[in-house]
Amino acid sequence: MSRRRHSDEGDAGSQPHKRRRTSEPIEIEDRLESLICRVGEKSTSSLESNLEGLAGVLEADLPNYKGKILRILCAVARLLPEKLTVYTTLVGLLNARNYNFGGEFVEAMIRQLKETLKSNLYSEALYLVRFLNDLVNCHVIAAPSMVAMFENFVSVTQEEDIPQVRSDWYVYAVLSSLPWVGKELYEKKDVEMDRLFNQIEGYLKYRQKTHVPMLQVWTAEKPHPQEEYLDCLWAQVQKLKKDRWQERHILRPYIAFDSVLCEALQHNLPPFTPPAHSDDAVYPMPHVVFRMFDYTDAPEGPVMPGSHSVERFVIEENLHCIIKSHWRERKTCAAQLLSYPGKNKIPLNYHIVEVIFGELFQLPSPPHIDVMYTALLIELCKLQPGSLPQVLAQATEMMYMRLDTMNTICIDRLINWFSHHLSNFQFRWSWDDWADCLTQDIEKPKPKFVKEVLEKCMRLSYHQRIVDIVPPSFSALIPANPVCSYKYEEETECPLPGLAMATTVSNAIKNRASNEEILIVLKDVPNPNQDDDDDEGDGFNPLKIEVFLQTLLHLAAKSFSHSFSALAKFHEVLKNLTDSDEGKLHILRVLYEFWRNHPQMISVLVDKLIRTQIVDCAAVANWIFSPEMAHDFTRFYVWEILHSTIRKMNKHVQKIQKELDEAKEKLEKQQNKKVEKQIFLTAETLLFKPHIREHKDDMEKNSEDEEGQLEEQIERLQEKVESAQSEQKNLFLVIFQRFIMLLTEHLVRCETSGVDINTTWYKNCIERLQQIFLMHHVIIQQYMGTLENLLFTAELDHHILAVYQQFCALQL
Amino acid sequence: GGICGSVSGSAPAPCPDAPAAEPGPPASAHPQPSGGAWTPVTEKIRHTLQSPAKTDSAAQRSFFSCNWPTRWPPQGNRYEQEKLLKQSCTLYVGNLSFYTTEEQVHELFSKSGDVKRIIIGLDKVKKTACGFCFVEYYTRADAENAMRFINGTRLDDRIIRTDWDAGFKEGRQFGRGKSGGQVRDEYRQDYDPARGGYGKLVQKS
Repeated sequence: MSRRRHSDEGDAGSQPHKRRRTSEPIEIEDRLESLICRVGEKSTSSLESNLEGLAGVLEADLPNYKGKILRILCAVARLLPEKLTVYTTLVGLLNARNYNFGGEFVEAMIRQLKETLKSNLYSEALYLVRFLNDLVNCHVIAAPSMVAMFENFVSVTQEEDIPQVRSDWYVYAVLSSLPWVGKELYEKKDVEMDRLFNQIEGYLKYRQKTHVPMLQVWTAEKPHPQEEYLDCLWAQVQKLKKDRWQERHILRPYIAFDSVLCEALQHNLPPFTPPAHSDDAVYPMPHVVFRMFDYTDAPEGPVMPGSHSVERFVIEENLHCIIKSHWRERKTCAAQLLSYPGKNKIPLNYHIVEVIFGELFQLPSPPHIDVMYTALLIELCKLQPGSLPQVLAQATEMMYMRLDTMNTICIDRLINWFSHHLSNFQFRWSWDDWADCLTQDIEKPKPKFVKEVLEKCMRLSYHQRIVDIVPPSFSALIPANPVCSYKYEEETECPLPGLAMATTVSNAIKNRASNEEILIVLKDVPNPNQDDDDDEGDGFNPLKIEVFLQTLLHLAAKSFSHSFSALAKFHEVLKNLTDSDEGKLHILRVLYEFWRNHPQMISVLVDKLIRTQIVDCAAVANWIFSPEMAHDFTRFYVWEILHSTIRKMNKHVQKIQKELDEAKEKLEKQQNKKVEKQIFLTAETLLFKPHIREHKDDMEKNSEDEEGQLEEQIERLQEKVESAQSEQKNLFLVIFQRFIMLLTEHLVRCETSGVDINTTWYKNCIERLQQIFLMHHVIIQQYMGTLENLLFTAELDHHILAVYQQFCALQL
Repeated sequence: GGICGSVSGSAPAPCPDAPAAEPGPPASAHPQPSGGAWTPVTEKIRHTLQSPAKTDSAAQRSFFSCNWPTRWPPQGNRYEQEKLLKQSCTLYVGNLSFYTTEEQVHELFSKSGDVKRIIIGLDKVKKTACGFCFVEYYTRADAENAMRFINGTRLDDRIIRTDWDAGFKEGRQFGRGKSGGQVRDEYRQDYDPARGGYGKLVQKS
């Protein structure tokens, strides 16, 4: 008898081996879902015959599974926008066979559209609008009713007192559907469409564009202007109109079914009023169209469509949609991108690379986590080893050439991407090609970029590796060997104050002294700041901190874990030493002095010090802006520390807020239960159930106790939340204040000496200020009032105020 | 017509890519798409449309068909183990070079979120790194992103593998091979300079 394992039959590990004898509804629903989701994917049959077949199958199943089919089709309309025309054709075919179903589908879509708009799901709403538009092409929806919907959309521009981003979205929804349906709508209703066009043109002319500079990846107009997204789309649609709506890129399966579809009866869209604006509506932020390639960049093969061609828009939209659908599964995502329909007519690799970097560099933040893009590009290189790596290298080279005008935040992301990418390819790169940076001042963007890349590469490997991979001419850009600097190391001619103490402390630690014992030892450390008549010696003593921390860090220098252990073990001592604000600042200074060659270690230790509450977030901010750190002020690691600190603060507030919300919910539940109990304890019950009457008082008292406890807890948490929010607000105030001081100083100095303000340092600093706004915009928006009253007033230099105004424009 | 007719009695045939090519019961009417696993897109739709019963049956399915745990013996009973893994914020990381440092691991894994702690795996005898570690995050979401985007990429030029771990317990930082390192280094036949050269068995012969 063969000893075949169950898993030999069929695929292992994916489905149960148990086979169902009878057809259960769940199995059929799975099948329907699978068939619908997979139509349009690679197949041995043509798309048309697959659609025809599927339409037949679904039509036959309508009597029993109509609800399910409606739900699946609505879901794919919302979630699979890259296959838009496949599904609109399917719906068209179904409508031709079953008019009522077509009507029900349209109604369901309208309901879904209302839902998504109310729930702030604007990108999904956009896909739904586009889907409805393409249904006009499939003879499901009558063109005049679509035009009427557009008229309602455009009339939003006439609403008063609304944020610009609201009317922006409705105009965008109209314009971005036109590549699909412009021709049909113009053929049927050209007068109305022209009127709409004029209205839109008027709107676009007068809308505010203050936000644009803050969102551009490059400040330079050449070689590719970074256009505001609505401006770019308007130009594309105008060009399309001029070309009489001839559009050849979109895959339109419904054309093959024209004879069937034009026999179908159409439905009219019900009149659709955009939901009114409410204060908790969150509209999508404006964005800038990222372009880095044009037709001159792809050396051979198909030509890249121009920047104002509608093809460019459609391709980019579809590639963005594919990434949005598949970002969690990098292998699938890469495969889907590379099998883009119509790929033979376009330089697909260039489009893919441009779209990916466009997302990675998007301001304020990329749509998905940064590391995803690194992993995705690696997969793409694996699938197209003969072509994609070259495009990627070309892109990297181009971005290096344009570093001078690249936004600092984007440079940060480029550094992270490039170093991580290199670490997957043995750090192979033609560094000599970049030898031009060696002759420049080391603070200039190009050498700075190379230096920061090498530092990140070192973190992923080790110092000697970096020495080995770059030519000797690059030695000035190689990061320092990450060794510690123990000041009490050697016997020098003039022994440092504290040297003897350091040795004592070191021995004490090695002999496993407790926190109390160490504190006793440290009592003997003289205080250089102190007056002679101050006996207490409990005030801020910088020498004590130095002696203890330097010694401790030195003993624990071997690894992160050793240092973390040390900080944990002597938490009490550290808390004692950093009781004051000066103490907190000084501990950071000492840490920096000791580990100045190992920025990564500084980062992780600052993180630990905050998490163990030895220093607070404001201390870190003050330290970063202190004169001692001016030398490292433009280094990447400093900003990583600051932003990590802000994030910790934000998470802390969120956490306590959540605890408060949960406690409030619990209290509400308790109070509801109490009411229920009281209803139970009616006079009737009291009369007929004497034992309950006895216990009634106890029960009431118990629930009152519980309630009292909860109310106390809520009060405590409320205080905690308020205090945390106050700390958070204070942190931002400190940071902004320091920025303003630094920048004002620079501007005044330049003015008085007649020097151009636009130094490398200034560009870096002002973009770092922008970065604070962009990376934490949700939180900062809560404190706008305070910021405007206290800091960003009209008296401020207009260069600095402009940053604030651009930020405000993002959600106006 | 429709799908109903074809469900019962059809043998589990290997499933071609194409859905029904002609109207009527499709030739490959089978719940299993080719390649075995659901495409992620279907997962996404499924998740949106899912009813509670389905979730349970899906969990049941994976329970019956799960592979044996790669580490032996399995800890706790299997159901407990599955539960812990689904909530875990800890990853096991394998195929490290013996020379890979905690700093390198921290740098790489920080790309998917804040790392709570790293425990470097040690040779039980020598107390030196023996090619694996545990990475614990503060949140599950960060660990998931590491599984998505760091698993299967390189660290120190080696493709590393990450797996969900039920959680670090004292003692698990040591290799369980007879010689003190990892079990895999006892029996492997190849020469790996970053993992002590030849496997222990080969070295002894």
